[in-house]
Amino acid sequence: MRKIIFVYFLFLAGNLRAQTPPPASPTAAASSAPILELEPLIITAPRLKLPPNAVLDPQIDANLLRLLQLPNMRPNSQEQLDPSLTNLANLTTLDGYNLQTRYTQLGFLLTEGLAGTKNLTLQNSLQTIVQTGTNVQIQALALDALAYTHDPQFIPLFQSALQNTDVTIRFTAMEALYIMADGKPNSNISSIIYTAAEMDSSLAVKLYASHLAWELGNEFGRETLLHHYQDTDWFTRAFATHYLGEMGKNDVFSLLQTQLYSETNPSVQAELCGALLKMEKYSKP
Amino acid sequence: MVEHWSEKPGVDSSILSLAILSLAILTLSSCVPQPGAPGAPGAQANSSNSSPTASVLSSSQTAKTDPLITSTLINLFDNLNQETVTLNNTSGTPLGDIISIGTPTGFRLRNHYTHIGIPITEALSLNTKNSRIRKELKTMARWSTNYEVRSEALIILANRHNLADEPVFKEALLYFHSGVRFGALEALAVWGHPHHAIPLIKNETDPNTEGIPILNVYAAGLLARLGDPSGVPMLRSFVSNPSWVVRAMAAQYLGDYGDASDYDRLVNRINQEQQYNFVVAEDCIAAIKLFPKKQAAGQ
Repeated sequence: MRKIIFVYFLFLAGNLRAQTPPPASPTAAASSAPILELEPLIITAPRLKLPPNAVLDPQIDANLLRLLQLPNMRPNSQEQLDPSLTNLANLTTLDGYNLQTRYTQLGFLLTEGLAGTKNLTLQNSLQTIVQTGTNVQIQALALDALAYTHDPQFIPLFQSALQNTDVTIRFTAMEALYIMADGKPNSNISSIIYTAAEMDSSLAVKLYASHLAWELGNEFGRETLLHHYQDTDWFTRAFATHYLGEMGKNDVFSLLQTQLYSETNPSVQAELCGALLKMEKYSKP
Repeated sequence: MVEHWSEKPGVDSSILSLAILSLAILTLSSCVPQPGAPGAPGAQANSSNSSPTASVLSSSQTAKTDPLITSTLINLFDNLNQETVTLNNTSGTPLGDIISIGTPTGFRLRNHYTHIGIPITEALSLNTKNSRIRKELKTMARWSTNYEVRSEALIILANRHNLADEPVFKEALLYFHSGVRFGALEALAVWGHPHHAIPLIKNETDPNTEGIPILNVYAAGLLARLGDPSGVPMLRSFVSNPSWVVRAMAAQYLGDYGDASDYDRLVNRINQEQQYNFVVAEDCIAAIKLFPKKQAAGQ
């Protein structure tokens, strides 16, 4: 019965496409997308813009190193007394959520401050933290910070972290390898990431890594995402759909368009709509 | 994990659902407006109101977008206050794995998948050429009692860069809820009419009003971002505010928009802020950003 219904929907969807007005011209919907956040929660690694001979005030690295040794990355008891923290919690836009994260998770700021450091003392400390640290969040930020150096000497460190039992470390190690590739197609790194993704016990890590591998040119990553966009778990469907929308073309557009007719979960519906709008230039039959 | 929505795609639903869906699809394919026709599948899943699909069909569609996308988005946005992602019992699930990841990417993914307004807003922002969506957005930006809906609608509306929307932003700046006022400030920054936006933003920077300190410093940062000469001096004054969050925000924006002199200003404050780890970190990051300006100035 399920198959009959599905074929019926495919027929109807095809019928709809045949009769609707001409599809979108290849204007890149995503590139013309409005600005929805002024301060995205991404690492900008300001150290990468420093001139080669830059000598920063020593207080800067000393203090970042001190903060790295803190046992807790959340606001301390003194900081929690500030009523502005409560005001931050009232913000409901994406920028607002980003500010809440920025001032309740010190790890974000430390990653930003340390990313790409060329200071050998800092690099050694970060490497030691990755290898012998006990706080997973700090180990993860150390991995991220080292990745922005784009120094191949750290690749074995990242590969070793792929075997860690903690999901945060494995996730960050995959991301670190992706950062090393600097967003350019890289068959070596993409195949390391994809192989690790295939073996990972966490479906979320597997999907995230598959999308990274796909971005670096590994088409198997796409196949993994396609395998899960109809999963029984709503989050898995949403997650796979989101990344299919980022990278997909004609065939993916058709599959997701059909999926929208049968999807009932609001989060997944939103992801499907977003993905289809991003891929609108591929809507030609 | 407790979900407020049905867990599986609707292909297993009843024949009646199929009939309703078919009717909706055939209606779309024949392009015949059918006011009052049954809703899209997405609408059925929501416990809330009826689907707006039919009314969407009768409105003027853009030639480019599948009408089901438009109707689904409007329905989702209309019912945003009834949609929540609850985070109980997520341990061991894919969502649980993602929200446990304490890295910048992990935080970003957590925000995206635990606030349903974010993916809905992102999708809506890609479809603002649709007249029905434009009208809905304006209504939401003015009248929605859901703070998240109203503030997100303001930002999407601003991205249309329409000067005629100025009264909507003025109204929102007077609203009692700080989240909506914050959304209005963000909206003014992307609106594309800085000469009209700057005086409105300036009103929000005065700490002597009944304003909220984080809105005051955020507004000062926006002035600096828009190139208004009063922005950076205001940010410098916020560096000694009693609230550490305000000091941290001021340092962040000074790192982006300050000049060579701000490098020393912020480095000199690091020692005074030893009890406030987030401010120390922001001061360090801002100083790193400002170093090239300091070097270029030969200081």
